Amino acid sequence: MITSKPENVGMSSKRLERINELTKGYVDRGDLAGTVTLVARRGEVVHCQSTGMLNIEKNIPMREDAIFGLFSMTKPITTVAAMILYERGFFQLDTPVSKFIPEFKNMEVFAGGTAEDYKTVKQEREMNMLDLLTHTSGITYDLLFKTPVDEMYRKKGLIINNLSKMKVEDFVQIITQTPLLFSPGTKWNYSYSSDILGHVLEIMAGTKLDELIKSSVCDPLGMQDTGFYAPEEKWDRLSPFYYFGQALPSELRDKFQGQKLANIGFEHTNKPSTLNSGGGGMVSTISDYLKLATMFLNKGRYGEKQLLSPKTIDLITTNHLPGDIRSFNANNLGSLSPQGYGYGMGMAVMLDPAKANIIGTPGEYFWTGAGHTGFFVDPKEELIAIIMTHLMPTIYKIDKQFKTAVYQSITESYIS
Amino acid sequence: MITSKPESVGLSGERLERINDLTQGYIDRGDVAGTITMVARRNQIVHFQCNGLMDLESSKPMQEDAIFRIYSMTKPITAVAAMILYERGFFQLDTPVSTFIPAFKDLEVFDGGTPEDYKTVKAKREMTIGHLLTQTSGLTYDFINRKDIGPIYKNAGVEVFKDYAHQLTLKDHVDRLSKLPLVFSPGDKWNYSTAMEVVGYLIEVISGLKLNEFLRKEIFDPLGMVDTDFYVPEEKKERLSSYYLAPGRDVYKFISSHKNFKHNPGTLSKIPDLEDRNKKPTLLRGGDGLLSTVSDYYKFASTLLNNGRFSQGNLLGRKTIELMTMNHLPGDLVSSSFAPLRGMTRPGIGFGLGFAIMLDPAKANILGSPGAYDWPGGAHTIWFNDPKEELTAILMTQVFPAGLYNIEREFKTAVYQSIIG
Repeated sequence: MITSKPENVGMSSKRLERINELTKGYVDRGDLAGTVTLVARRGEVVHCQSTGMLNIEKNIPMREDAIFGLFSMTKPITTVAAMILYERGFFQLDTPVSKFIPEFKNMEVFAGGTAEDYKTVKQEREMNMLDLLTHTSGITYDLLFKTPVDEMYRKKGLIINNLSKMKVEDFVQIITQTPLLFSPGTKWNYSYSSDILGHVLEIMAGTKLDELIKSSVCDPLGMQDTGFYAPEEKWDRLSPFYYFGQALPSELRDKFQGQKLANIGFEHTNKPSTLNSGGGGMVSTISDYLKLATMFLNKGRYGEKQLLSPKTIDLITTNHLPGDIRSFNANNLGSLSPQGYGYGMGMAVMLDPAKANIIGTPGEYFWTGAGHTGFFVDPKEELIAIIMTHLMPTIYKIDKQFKTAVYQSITESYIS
Repeated sequence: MITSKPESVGLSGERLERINDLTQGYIDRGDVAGTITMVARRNQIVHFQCNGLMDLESSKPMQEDAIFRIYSMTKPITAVAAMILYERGFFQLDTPVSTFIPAFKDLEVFDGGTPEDYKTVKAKREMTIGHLLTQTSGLTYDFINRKDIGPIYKNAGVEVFKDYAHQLTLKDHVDRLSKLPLVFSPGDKWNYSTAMEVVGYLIEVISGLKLNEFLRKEIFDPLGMVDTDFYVPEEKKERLSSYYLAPGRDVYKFISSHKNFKHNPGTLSKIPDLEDRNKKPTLLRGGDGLLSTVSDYYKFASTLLNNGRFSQGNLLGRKTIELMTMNHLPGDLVSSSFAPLRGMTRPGIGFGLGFAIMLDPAKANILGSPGAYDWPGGAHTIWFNDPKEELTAILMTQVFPAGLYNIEREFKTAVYQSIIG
């Protein structure tokens, strides 16, 4: 994978070693099974390292081409698929979602009460495509455990862990028949917006989301190990999910008694799903995700292909909120709704590293996945970094530690 | 010392002379005893000037390698030391201080009353290492919040102008602090404080080294800062510049209690050091404890200006320097400050990790560039870096009290007006 010495692109080999110290520390303490990390600058891969185990129980070491569940790192891929259709004229950002799913026409907005007994008010305006792309739709997630609206989702059987097994019609019905948490465009809230978006794309394109993403994103970029599941011939590279023992759901606690990392198997990643989740359903490898990130860094170009125009990449990676996520969020979601970051389309955009309390560059964009994966692209530094691992739920701050380790490796100075 | 003609780096030799006019004026009026001034641009030293005396009583001329009490110019060095550990992954800026110092877990905030009988409320949030570095921790100095918290600090034995140097350790100081109320919840306001002592102690806890050992190993030795330390060893004793109380100033209580202090109203009065400066202290104050020379401080400043790079490698990465030199306050020092502080709380100036950041020279009412950063020391020393102009300047002198003269700003003006290209 490595194509150049770090020093050729203004980075220090010695300092990059700190990435290995970081990941090895997690593995040695038994906090993670294994990791793959990658850093690329100015088109050169200067760090790619697999550490620890892909499968502890089967004694399979981690490998650079391991396949991981992307969870929310699916969202940027869905965004790309959407914006390809945008460029082809299928929608404008202010096109109402009801144009494709009429049930979204007259959504009610939650106005107080409990999940059983609540009041609603009329929405101030209809939900549009931009709301889905930027999580300002008023939709929420059952997994937030913050409001009566996410409780309503759960009561109706919408549980994120079962999403892949649902019928998409049932999923859409639950969302459209439950009040919105807020009127579209008035707040930011992490949500099933990307999954609804995925289904809207299916309706627009007349194909299933997996086929659409394969033909419009993965095939053109050569992301051959990226999809909504890994077929059997790739299972030896597919990482099982580890679950942090102390956070196991009660029904699994007995089975994995006392284990720090519980191997709960492949879950949704080794077979086709009935619902292709545009918000979290995909699997990928670090080299495939590098292709996506490289396309972003190169303003839509990958090799000879121009997947998206530079103007569209700019639009995706611009903050669409009036301030940072924290100041516009409906629920304080901690690291998912941080200070100092705005939100673009399916990813956060660094506005102010000082406010975000971390080393970085204004204009850098990133997102993470629930398995502790993370990526970021820094146009100013011409930098891409990706970390893949496979532990749920999100308990560590390894994405921030990884970002720190990457950025502190830049040693070039602009003063001679 | 001078390595290049000013004209070769876009400065005017004739205009630079105004720095000498300035410092010589102070000396001729008897307001300071002596000064050293230094200006470097594009890594060339174009001005290095000793004026006046380093000891009035013995008429000893200021010498290039004179050692100065740099007081708060210690803070940027301690901040850099902390960021070395940040780069090694030991903490994030939002890591709670209590992760390393458990006594900082459930802090209380002063909520009215007298120093003897006061109320507190729980702090709204945990104090983080970022709060310490940006002086938004809620800690203070006894000489700032004099009416309420000041006496509380004094009674607890954490006051600044008292000779604890050879009596306490950094741990004692931090232990004492942990039992005192904050002046506000961490993150709410900016307030100058003893926070960098806590940072110094964090460095000890994380590294397992004493602060002086860590600074020596990670900063002073690599950069060749051979004359910077928390004391002046016997063999360098003669190089320590004397310290004076400004003429016409009240004699502060803490000074009058000094042995050997003799007040000369109307002229400079020599202030004997509180502690024995020739003996290594046990209380290694990361906020104001260091002594240094112009050449040593220049090595430090130029490393920051060169984005962390020095001849042997990188002290810090460039992105870390960027993070340190960004404004971390929601506004400027005026809008963010808990209590105004003479000479420090100015409009148009923000605060980074350990020093002030110029945001807007128009608002700050002075020549400069957005992004330039500086911090003074309590004896009217000053240092600034201007990345855009690739400029470093240092002024050292030894006169008390801080904020009395405008010499730091006058020096800055004299330096900037010398740029002609």
